[in-house]
Amino acid sequence: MEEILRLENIKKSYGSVIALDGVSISAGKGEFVSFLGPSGCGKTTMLRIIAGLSRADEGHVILEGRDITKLPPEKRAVNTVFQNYALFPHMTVEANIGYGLRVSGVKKAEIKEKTARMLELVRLDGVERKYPSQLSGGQKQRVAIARGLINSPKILLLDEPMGALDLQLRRHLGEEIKRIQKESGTTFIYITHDRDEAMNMSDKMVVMKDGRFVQEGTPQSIYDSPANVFVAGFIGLSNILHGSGLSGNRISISGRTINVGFETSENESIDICVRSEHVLVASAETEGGFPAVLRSKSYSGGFLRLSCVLENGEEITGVREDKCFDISPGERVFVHISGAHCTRLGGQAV
Amino acid sequence: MRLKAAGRIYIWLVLLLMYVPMLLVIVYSFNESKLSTVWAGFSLNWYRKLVTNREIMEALKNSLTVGLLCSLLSMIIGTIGAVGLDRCRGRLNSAVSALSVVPLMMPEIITGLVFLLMFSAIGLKAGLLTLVLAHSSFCIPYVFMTVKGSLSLFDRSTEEAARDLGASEARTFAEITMPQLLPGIVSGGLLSFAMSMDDVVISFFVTGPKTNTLPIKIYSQMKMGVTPEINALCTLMFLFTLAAVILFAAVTDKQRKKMKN
Amino acid sequence: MKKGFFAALPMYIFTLFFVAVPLIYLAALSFMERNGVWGVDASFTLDNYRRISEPAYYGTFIFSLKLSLITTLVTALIGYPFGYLMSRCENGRLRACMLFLVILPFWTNALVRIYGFIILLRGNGLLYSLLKLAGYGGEQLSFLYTQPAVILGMVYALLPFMILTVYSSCSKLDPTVLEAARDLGASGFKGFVTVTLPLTADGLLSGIMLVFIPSMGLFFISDLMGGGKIIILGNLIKNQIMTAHDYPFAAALSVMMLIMMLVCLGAVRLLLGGGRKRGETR
Repeated sequence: MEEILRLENIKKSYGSVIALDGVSISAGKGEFVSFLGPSGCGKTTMLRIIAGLSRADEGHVILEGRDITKLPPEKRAVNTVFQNYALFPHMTVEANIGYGLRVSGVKKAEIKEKTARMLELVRLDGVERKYPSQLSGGQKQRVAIARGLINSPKILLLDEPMGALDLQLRRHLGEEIKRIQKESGTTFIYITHDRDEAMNMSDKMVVMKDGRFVQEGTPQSIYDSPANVFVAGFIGLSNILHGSGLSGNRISISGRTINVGFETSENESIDICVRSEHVLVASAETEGGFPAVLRSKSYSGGFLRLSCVLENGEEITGVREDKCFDISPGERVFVHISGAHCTRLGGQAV
Repeated sequence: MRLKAAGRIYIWLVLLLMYVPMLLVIVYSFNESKLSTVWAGFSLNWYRKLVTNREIMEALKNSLTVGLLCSLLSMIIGTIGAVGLDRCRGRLNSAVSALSVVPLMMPEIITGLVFLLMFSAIGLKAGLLTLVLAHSSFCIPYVFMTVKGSLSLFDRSTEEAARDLGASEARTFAEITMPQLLPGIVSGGLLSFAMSMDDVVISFFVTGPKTNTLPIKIYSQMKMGVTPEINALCTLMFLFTLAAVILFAAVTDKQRKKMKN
Repeated sequence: MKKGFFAALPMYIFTLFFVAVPLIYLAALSFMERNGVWGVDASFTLDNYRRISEPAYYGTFIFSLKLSLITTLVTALIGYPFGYLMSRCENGRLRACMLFLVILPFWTNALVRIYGFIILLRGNGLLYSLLKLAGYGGEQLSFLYTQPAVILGMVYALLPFMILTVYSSCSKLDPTVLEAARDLGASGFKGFVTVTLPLTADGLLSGIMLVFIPSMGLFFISDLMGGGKIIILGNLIKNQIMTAHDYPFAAALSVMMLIMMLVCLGAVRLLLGGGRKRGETR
């Protein structure tokens, strides 16, 4: 894939607070890249540096091979959808969308035509003459996207565009954003703290923490093998276990031994994570089962989710497809962990 | 329920008492007779006399000149000041921000006195210029405050959005910032104009012997006694205020409707 | 940083030359000596302040203060219920109408409004004619040109300020808070004293400031309604300038007036202070 944007070792601090601590990334043409991280991890700062609204202390922003680090925002072929949309309250929807063309001196007829095309792209009808205050949250978002796309930017930056919307709307609009991205063929850089959004929409995902990139890759690869406990936790993998290595691809956890699919060496401390669908909970003792106590059970998506506590105090969640599992919380159960599906986590525990 | 009715009655009673004197002036301004005790039939006599009264017309001209110059000056300085202080916050700026509204809290008599003293100290001759300067001392803070109010509703990220879409800094200020602040600027300017036109106390001190403003003229006439001509003049001033209030309400209402998110 | 400074420059100049310098000059002048009929001598003296303690001036101070306090109290007693009741009116259009009717006099020249009062209250004015119609056979009215008439004029002129500030703080009051107080067993009156009043104290306080501050200086009201017989501080200062031409003494009177005002407003603020703090933590 052709590279469109490259960040080289970007550093930024506000007083003594370090917002970005040397991050580098590259994004390809037409890619949907999302940055995922808790608030205060520096993702908005990074976006503003790409847009030119903030200046990096160090490092370079390279757009299509050209260094644009020192270019002001109006000279960059990059547009932004702001967190609260920042629509111009004194202009109609039409005027808002057409603004980018108007400032670059495009002829009226062309503006009108392109605006209509944009309205079609974001599927907004009959609101051209309304003012932003008369729109719903979802409509405002579409106007903001249309306004950002009308100049045919190389990259559209989206700063938590779902932040102000309610849950149901988010899901629907997420699909819409993805569709708009595909149809326009523009590179989208999307910032969020919601892992579902990031997972569902992106081609590439970057997990951020404390001004650094923790892991990048496709959603699938991050989901399958999170780099460390933070990533595992943040993308919603709850089964994180601590064990110590034995020789020959084995680890000891809570006094039991399981065979895993990666190299281990004697006495090293190892964190592993295993998704709940690879954890089986049984009522009777069988070969290789971990004795545990059932803490709670709940139904979710056709499965029975069982949360258990191992003898070493660690929590583990498993699922069962049969819903008539008649063990009550507090009772004894046995947990089977599929060693082949255990992933080794690197880095520091958080 | 009974309490509520009593409340309503109370409100309308106070309003009635507030308006009776004003209505009285209006009614008598159309009275044929010179005496305010008898009604001798409808007449526009006093208005005719008013328009031909050169002194009053001169005073009106002065008042309008001072009011216009003052509100213009205040709109420029107050707006630039409010935006400037908003852009760059610091300890000194918050002190300036607090100090600049002191003239609004100052008893008018002291403001008037202080300016009289200052002008005589620097040898400035009392006249239209001194009136404009003294009135600006309370008009600038009015605009400053209304623009500050607009700024608090103003979303700075709309400026960034415009820059992001390719507008230069100057263009952003002209097309994005100004239109959003305009209702605040205009309402501050209107307020300034009205306050300048209304002022008695400060004008009394800084006005020159030959440059009467309308309120000063009315004051000196009233001290000499009640004449029907003043009835007519007061009626006109009241109607003028009415128009200004309606205009002001329209401007602020428009702002509220647009900004409400 | 620099750009912001230049944009703010007009405001720096304004505060310097229209606020700071005049006030410093006023304070400095109050310690100077008078020289001849018009002049001022730049030598330090406390004589101007000593003169204030003379019975004639001291008496005016006390009288003017008393008049202002009564005016403020009456205005608050009329204006607070008005503003409160207006904010409780549920019919939006009616409320807007009332608000308009209060704002109109607020903007109307005080002279114009006072003038109507004079016509009404004159010895042989409308009120007299009405009373006569009702069977009053006495002499011409002598209410105008008395102390109560001056107070009435002040209250009339300043009432809209009180109503508007009280209204704006009352309309911010969350009615469910009051309902909660009633729910917890507070009677209507108790709920008012323990909840409404403390929560709207800042509106009342700014209303009091807006009434009290100008009331000592409105010389034209005491002139017109008091017929030149009632001398308040405003008249005293005006006379020192216009008739006696004693600038340093007028400055000293002004400084004393400012100090007195700050003391009074500080006291009122303390009195309402508990409520104000609670209001802020809301």
